[in-house]
Amino acid sequence: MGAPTYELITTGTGTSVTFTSIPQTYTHLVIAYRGNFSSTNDQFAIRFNNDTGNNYSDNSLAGNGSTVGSGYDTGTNAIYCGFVANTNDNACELSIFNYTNTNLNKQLLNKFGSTATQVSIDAGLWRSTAAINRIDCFVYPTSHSFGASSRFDLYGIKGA
Amino acid sequence: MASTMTAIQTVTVGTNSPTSISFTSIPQTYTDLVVKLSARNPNPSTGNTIELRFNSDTSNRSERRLIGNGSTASSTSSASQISLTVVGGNATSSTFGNLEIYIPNYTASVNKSVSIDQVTENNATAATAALGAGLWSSTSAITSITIITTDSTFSQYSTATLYGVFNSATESKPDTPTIGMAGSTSSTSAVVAFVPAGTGGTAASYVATSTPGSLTGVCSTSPITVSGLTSGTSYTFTVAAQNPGGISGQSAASNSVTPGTGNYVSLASYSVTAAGGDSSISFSNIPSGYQRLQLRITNMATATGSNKMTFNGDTGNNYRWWQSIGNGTTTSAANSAGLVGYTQPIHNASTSHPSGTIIDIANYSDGNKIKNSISYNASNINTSNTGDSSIRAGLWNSLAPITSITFAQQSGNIGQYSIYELYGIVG
Repeated sequence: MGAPTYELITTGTGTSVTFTSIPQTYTHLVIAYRGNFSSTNDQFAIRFNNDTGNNYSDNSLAGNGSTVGSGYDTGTNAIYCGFVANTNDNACELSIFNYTNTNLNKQLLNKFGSTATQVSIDAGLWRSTAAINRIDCFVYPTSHSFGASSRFDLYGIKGA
Repeated sequence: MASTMTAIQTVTVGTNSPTSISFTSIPQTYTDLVVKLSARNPNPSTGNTIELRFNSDTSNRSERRLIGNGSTASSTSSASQISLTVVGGNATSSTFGNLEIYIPNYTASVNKSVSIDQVTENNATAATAALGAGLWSSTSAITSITIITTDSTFSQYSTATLYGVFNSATESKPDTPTIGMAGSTSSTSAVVAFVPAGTGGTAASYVATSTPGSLTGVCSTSPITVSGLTSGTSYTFTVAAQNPGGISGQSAASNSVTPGTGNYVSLASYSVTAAGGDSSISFSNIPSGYQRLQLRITNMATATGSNKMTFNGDTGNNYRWWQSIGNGTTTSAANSAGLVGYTQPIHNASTSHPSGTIIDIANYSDGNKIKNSISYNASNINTSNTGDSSIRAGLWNSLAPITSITFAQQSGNIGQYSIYELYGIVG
């Protein structure tokens, strides 16, 4: 049976998730997340290749049905996206473009929904041209965590 | 020498015992005609002569015939008819005489000469072979042919077929089409888009052929569906055009397609390699057959500003967009209508960092719907935060199916290392 263009690579569950030894055979990656957070005002954080240097930045556009806001972070040690307005039933589709391309810094686009309470779109940048072979998903602040039943599906998308 | 022969009409006699067999409203698009007749009549005579008439004309006919029955030969002539012979009732039962009438240049403004060769079986002990040359002294184009017996009828199961013949020297075969995109639509099928040559003979149909396997699909317009593929096997396709005059050359091979279980199909990818960038990027000959299209774009720009997207080469005032955008400090919303050819799905606030964009276009091939797109844009974030996150809805006020998409920067070029990828999503 043939491999599809959009393919599930692996699934992780738990209070934080790390994907390692990511195959370098795709063009893009997508992380589909659904689950809970331990507190409101938490953020979904993502880090590449275990780079803990201040090599990340992000901005977001969020709306809660009555107001709209935008925020940003620069010179951080992870990309912070998906602002949690309700601890339960959050979901996101997080796209990582051209993750193996060594000519480009790595760009991220996240569509995040928080229990029909808030929706946001987030842009993230990792200022590194290295191919991504590891992804850490965790909660910011780091003293907090995902709910134990949170699920993270890592997909690979092949290009032509 | 004729290159193709196409059956036009067939008449099969039932139990009604007709006195004639006719072909009417003969198309005038061929070069020559051929009639093949297999017939019998109940008249007990060993052979019965019947007549050949064109356009119901009972005059202006003549013939010369050479006849042999295995023991004697004879030659006859007539100044008033063109004769055919079928077997009579005394012949061995269930035996039919067979003949072929060849009528060249039936539409030309010349007198019509015909050749007739035929065989009959008379009575199980003898057979007749006859060769005839007939002439209809008329310059009219032949529009009907009647084979008529004046003293008998045609027996049940007598059959006559009229064929049209193209002379290859007259009908030009079509020129080779240009291959477009190919993509899978199921685990065992693919669609192949192409562009007709527009020169050479008029194509009657197009054939796509797979490599490996030489599986084919036929259609009269793009795209062609090829079925019977094997899931997991990589195929390329070529397309040829055909008409009665012949078959064109094969197009170049398509992109590789691997039918599988997924419904997310990679159609095309383009990477900008030039140091100065490209002025535009286009995806052309996009096949129908998917529920929607998706573009995943990493865009670098040589100048700040927006990227524009147009469809099918339309640069008229037929576009509109709406957007919500946050730059990390403030939010804003905007829209614009009556735009000349762009929907601004991609924004670069800096030339040093890429933007990432996902564009979804639903119902792109639906000729009953105005075309909508939605784009999610993550724009070059850097240490000084000159980027933005945005959602943009675009509208192209056209019912036309989208067959091409073009991107260009409002200022400067699409920069080196930009990557544009097109996917088809199966419903």
